[in-house]
Amino acid sequence: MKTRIKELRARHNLTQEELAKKVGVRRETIVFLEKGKYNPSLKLAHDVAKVLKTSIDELFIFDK
Amino acid sequence: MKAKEIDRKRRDKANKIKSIFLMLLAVTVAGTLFLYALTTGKLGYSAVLIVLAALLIIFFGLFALRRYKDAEKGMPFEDERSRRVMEKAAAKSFFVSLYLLLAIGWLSEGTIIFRDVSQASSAAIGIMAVLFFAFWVYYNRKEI
Repeated sequence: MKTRIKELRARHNLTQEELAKKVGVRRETIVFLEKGKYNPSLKLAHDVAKVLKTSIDELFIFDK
Repeated sequence: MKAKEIDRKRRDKANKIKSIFLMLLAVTVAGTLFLYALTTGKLGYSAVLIVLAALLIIFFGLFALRRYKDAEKGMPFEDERSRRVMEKAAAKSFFVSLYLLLAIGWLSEGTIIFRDVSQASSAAIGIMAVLFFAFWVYYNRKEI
């Protein structure tokens, strides 16, 4: 799984820590999410998408 | 923001190296003591267990301190990922412990002599705790 979190986070001028605080998770979770090494819950995916003003579809790219 | 990110990455790398070094040190010390106790019989199992417990307490202390510092910054003490890691580590260590306890049972027939039941059960609990810690470290770094 690939994500565009890092790119969109930079566009919104947010640090990992700031994004983590906004969605209510630990910074490590954001690190793993950006690397595509964590499969988040639907709620977390929705919260991250909302903060980054995008949709879940735009945020996560699933390899077939 | 970039300077902050670079600084954070540098700190992350230093922390990673520090934790790997501490882990290797702990495993080496515990392994050496355990082998020494097994082969010579000079060191009691309880001494090995005390050292293992001390190492686990040190790690837990460092871990709690880090989490507490993060909580002060406004981040949660635990989140869905840390809970998932904990659950996975607990499940796996329980599963592996069952076989290890079985192995201890067989070994206690001759290879390992336990003083009494309480020593054998404390060894089993110690092994479970170490296994849980090892699986926790493993899943904390792995894709889940």
